[in-house]
Parts: sequence; C-alpha cells; structure tokens
Amino acid sequence: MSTTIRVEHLARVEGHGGITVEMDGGAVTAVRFDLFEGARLLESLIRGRSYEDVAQIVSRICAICSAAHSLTSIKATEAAFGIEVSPQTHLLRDLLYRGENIESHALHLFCLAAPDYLGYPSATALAADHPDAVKTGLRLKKLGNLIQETIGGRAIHPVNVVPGGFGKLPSADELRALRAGLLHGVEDCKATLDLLSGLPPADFCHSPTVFAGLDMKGDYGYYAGDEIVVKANGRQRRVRAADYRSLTNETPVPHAHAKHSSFDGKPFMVGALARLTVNALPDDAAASAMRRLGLRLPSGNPMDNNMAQAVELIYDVGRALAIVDKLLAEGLNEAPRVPVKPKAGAATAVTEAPRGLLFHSYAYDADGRIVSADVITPTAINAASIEDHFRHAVEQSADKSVPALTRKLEMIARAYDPCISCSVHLIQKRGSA
Amino acid sequence: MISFQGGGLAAAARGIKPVLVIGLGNPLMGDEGIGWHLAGQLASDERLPETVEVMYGGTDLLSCADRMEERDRVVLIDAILDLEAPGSVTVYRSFEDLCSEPGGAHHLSVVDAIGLLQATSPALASVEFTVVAIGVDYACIETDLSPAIAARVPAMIDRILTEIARAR
Repeated sequence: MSTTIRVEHLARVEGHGGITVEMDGGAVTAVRFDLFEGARLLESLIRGRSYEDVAQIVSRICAICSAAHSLTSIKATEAAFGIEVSPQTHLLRDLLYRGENIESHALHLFCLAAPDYLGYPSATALAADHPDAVKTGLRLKKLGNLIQETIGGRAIHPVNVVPGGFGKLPSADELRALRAGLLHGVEDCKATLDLLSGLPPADFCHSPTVFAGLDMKGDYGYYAGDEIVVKANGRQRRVRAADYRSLTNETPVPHAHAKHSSFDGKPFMVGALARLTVNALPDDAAASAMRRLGLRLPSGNPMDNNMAQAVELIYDVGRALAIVDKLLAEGLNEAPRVPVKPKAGAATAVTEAPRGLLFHSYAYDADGRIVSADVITPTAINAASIEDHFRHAVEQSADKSVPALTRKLEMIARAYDPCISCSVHLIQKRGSA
Repeated sequence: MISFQGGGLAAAARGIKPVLVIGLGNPLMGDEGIGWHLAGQLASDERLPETVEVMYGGTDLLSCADRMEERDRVVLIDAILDLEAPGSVTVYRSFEDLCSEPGGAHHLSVVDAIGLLQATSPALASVEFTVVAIGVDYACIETDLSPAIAARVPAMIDRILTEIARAR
C-alpha cells in the first residue's frame, strides 16, 4: 500500500512546496523538500547596482539573517576592491554577527523548537503553560536585536555597515547600556541551559553525516576566515572560499527551485552542529554546556543541531560581553573608515550565517557596479542533507503511521532551522489553500 | 482625531504617540511587500494625524515589540493570501478568522507573534491590535508592485487612514 506524507508551505508563493515523503509498503520511494531560494533569484536585482547600494539591498533578503547577508556582501565587495579594514572594524562586525546569531538562535530554540519537544502546537500555547521559558527566549532575542541596533544602527537591516568600515560608531553610553543587557543575558543563558537540558530526547534519526563549516582558526566566530573544512568519518578536507563551487557542486533537481549541493557525491550539513564539529570548542563554558545538553560530536542525529545552537547562544552572550568590555576599556577610535576606490575585480566571501555557510560572490566593473553575482544560502545547501535525514528517519521509525512520521519530519526540518519563511510570510485565512 | 486613552496621556508626555502603524512585508517580494510600500506612502501623507507614528516592520514582528509598548493601538498592515480578491482591504480587530498556527515547517505567523507578545509582555497586554490585510494572490522576486495592486494603493491609503481615525 502506498502512503504519501505531505506538509504544505504556502501555495501560490514561488517555490514553497513543503515536505513530501512517499512510501510503498513501508519502503521510502521518494523524498522531496522544496524551499524558496530567494537569494539566487535576487542576483538579477543587484546586477548593475553600485557597490554602495548592494549590501543594503541584499540585507532585505531576510529579516532574521539581514546582518549576515549585509556583512558577507561587504566582505566580498571589500575583497574585490582590495580593501583592508581596521581591527576595530573587524571586532565590531564580529560583535554584530554574534548579535544576529543570538537573536536567531533564541527565536528558533524557544519559539519554534521548544514547543515541538514539549508537545505544544505553537510558542503561544507553550507560553500559556511555561511563560517564564518563553519570556527568557524573547529577552534573549531582544538582546540580539539590541546588539544589532547598537552596532548596526537598526534591529534589522543594518544601515551602519558600509564598505570600508562603519557609518556611525556606537557611543560609550550605548555600549554601557548594551553591557547591562548582556549581563542579564548571562543569567538568561543559565535558565536556557536548565530548560534545554531537561527536554525529552528527540533521538529518532541517525545517519552518517558530512559536515562543512568555516575554519575559525581557534577563534570561534562567524565573520572572519575564508577556508571551509569538510569533515566526514574522521577525515577532513579543505576548500577555499574562492573555490566554493567545488564544495557545493550544485545540480538542479526537478522538484525544487533550489539546486542540491553535494561534496564527493554526498549531501553535507551546515549550521551550528557542523561549526562545532569542524572547529575546536570555543571555551570551557561551551564544553560544560555540551555535557549538560548531552551533545556528543560528531553526531549523526540532526536534532542535535538544536543543542549545538544552544551551545553557541550561551557562548555568544559571554563573548559579546567580553567584546563590549574590551571596547569600553580601550575606547573607540573615531578615525574615518577606509576610503573606497572601486575598481574592476571579483571576489567571493564566505561567513557563517546562523543557519550555516553563506556565500556571496561578486564581479564588479571599473565603476563599481555589479556585473555578475552569485549568492548561495545555507538553507539551499542543506536541502539535500535534509532530504537524506528525512529518508533515514522514516526508514528507522518503528511507527510508520502518518501522524507520527509527520511530526518527526517537521521536527527534523525545524532542527535545520531552514530560512524558508522569513523572506515571505503572507497571512493566511483559516481554510484557505 | 484620535483620542488619548489608557496609558496614552502619560506616554504622550514622553513623546510616545498613541497609535503605531507598522508596515510588514518584504519589499523584494513584489506584492507581498505591500505593507512596506503602504507604510512609506502613509508616513509622507499630509493627512496622517500627528498622533500616529509609522514604521517599517520587515517580516519580523517580534523585533518591533519595544516600539509597541505604551501605545493605545498598533495597526499592522500586511499582505494576506487571497486568490479571489487581490487588492482587497480587510480589517481584522480579532483574529479568529486568521491562521494562528504555523503555516509550514518553520514559521511564526503574525497572529502567533501578536499572541506571544501579549501573553508574555504586560506592557502589551492592553494594547489594541488591528490587522489591515491587503489581499494578494501571488508573491515573487520583484521590487515593484504588480500594476493591479499598485493601482489600488490610493484607495488602500484612504481606507487605512479611515481605520486609523476610528476611535478606540
């Protein structure tokens, strides 16, 4: 008997097809995860645009990942023009990126993943019974927004990030206010660890997994670096950002807008779990958090990406506090940003967005206008890996009933934290298609 | 003219306008970004009462939580999937007819976000939320509105101004 499991996204929105798994007598015959790959289609929107406008445009690809797109765009532009920014600019960008990671992980863990583990249909329903838990998550999300607002000039879609440096630097008072928020954040992280370490296990899928993440060279962060480590079965390979196509090896698939990525013929996973797998643990506190959360690396259980996000969230709050303390102690140099002289050139930048590796590759003409662009998002990279884990989850599930499998598939998709809803979020009427 | 009520007087003394209008949507997604476009037009409309502040909300309503506090009303302008009446304007003061649960595998709906904020923030519990839903039938990568939706923008602005002027 054939069975089809389907989880719909939005009809009539480009590419939103959802999850489909087809089975015949318990054997999986087809797995499809469709997603909206907005970034790729946006390349046409930035072609011909000035280097001064590109980061602002691409930041609107996504409300949650706006700093990631903005910073990766700037990084590619500066590399194309041969611009070296100051250590202070690097530090502020690192802090801004951590703010986005805190915001994104808090939203994901408390409002999307936690209700799954605890059997609630939504964060609102969870809040009715566990208001303190949800409030903790929202405070941490707000803290992430505050970092972005202080450094980037806005809670979303940063305006201060410009080629060569920053448009406006935060004041000492603003940094002190941020520091106060971060001190509260440290306490909230303790509550986060208490909550997440007490969640029931979600251990329904194991498979050999290939991981790819930015080589952070011993300094756990999301902005610096240009080499990717691919790790599988104890072996690791390295790929430079400029050679990203040899990592992604994208091929079109008939059922999705997004091309599928594979390395050595296998799908690979990017995101928090991959970052922790290919890099040394950031510090003792992160190692302690990992132990309490029961996270062991490498893990073939995609649900562990949630726990990896929790480890990063805790680490990032502490690290952000240390950065703010350093900025307050040393003071900010108000020197103007590095002058930008556009020239013909091309470059690829890679960073670690909250959901994983993000590539922006640009070619500019002599006037500083985009000639060609390529943007590859982590959710697009993860699509093939998500399908692989769907297949294993269904095959390994003793309960093949549609409700049981649907719940598992949704939880796996959510564990990857796919960015399929933030660029489009249409309201729906009840009962509409 | 909008009346001051509840915490509005104290908030007004601190320069907080009693009504906040938030345009939601992604301006890179064609008609889905209608809320963003309308907020921009509304903010520069000379008929906008001085008691009203307009802001862009992008697609993350939770990020706007701080800005909503101490308001009498928050009016959200957003796109709604409506295959039969694109360009329609429907005002929702209660949200039973709107989907409150995630529409996909990874999504926090606007209605969910409102519920979450009101359930967890005492400062928002008494704020009156209104959703002005603009019917759209398709979303795609595009910076401009479709001609059919763009042609109705003036009527949409009129309707929103009428809704804003409604006494609580």
